[in-house]
Amino acid sequence: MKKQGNSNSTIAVFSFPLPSQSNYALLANLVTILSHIYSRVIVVTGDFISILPHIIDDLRLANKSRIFIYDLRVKLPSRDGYAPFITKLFIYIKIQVNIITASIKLRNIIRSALFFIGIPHMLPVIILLRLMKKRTIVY
Amino acid sequence: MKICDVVWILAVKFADIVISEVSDPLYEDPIKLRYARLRLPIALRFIDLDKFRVIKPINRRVYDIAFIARLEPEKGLPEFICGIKLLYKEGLKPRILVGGEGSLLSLAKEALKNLDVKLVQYIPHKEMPNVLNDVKILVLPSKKEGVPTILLEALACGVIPVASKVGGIPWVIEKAQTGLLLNTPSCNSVYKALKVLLALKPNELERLSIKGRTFAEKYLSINGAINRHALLKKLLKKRAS
Repeated sequence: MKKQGNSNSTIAVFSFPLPSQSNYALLANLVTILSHIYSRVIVVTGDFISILPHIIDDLRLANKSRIFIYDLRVKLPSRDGYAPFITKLFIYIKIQVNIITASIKLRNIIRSALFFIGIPHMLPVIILLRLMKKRTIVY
Repeated sequence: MKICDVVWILAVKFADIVISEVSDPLYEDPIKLRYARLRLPIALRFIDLDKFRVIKPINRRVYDIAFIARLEPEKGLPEFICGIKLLYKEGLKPRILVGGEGSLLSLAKEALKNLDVKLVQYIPHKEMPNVLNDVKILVLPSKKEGVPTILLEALACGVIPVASKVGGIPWVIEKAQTGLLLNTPSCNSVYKALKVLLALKPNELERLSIKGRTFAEKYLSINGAINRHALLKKLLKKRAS
């Protein structure tokens, strides 16, 4: 993503990719609101594209041209489905690495980052962004 | 103190701004209240009020009572089932809808099999306005919550809530002036609250239903949510300058 426009009017929304679909409906609600306030809303989360058909209706009132997705392409396995511990651990580490990479890649574009779902899991990113002198907001 | 609490405290302490779901500190997460550098009580989300509206008057709805949540112990499903059984024991026979998936699904199936209950495992969100318009009373006996979306959607559809006194729920119910709060999410409190509401006359139900919708129009519109969140941008600008 190239740097363009005023970073003051760009916000990144970090949402930890937890398995529950209801989390994405909540995320869609927040993103809809922010899309009417900021000229660019960058959503950093996992597997957003595959979940999009289920929440497209929740984005009905959003200013869609202002929403950009940074898809981590990974999310934690569902609580109902069986996955060995080692697989879960590997996925968790992958999410952490991807989310930190995202914050580094986006550092020149954003001035503020909002942390939404699964906030305690994103503590390393919150600290990293604070070190980069970004404004951090916790929901 | 648990490790997850410590991590949560650190996250709150490192943040420039912490957003709260309700304005009243009484209902705030104590960690946010204690450790936030700057707390912004603005974040009540919006409900699509064109979709979530009263389609069917409350007295023409099919189900007297509904439980729509994940079928997990923390959502209070065992207490709900127990309360319903007490109602049946007393000879009351409300029609019930249970919607959701989770680890207690088989327990719910077994416990409710002889009652007038419809069990729907997964309700797509786009179907929710129609589902809620077939419900008179929604029960949320959760042990832990923030401000549950289903509660806000139910109010917008004129459903009367019965919910636990946890998280932001009391704030919502007090402002809406409809429904009942459960001091503790217990079997007995669910039973007593439902008994009170089931005894109401149609015009009283109608009055409570209208109050829920009025609350939704006042607090849950998208324009209201945008105005509340716009404060965040102003505040960030102020802190940067």
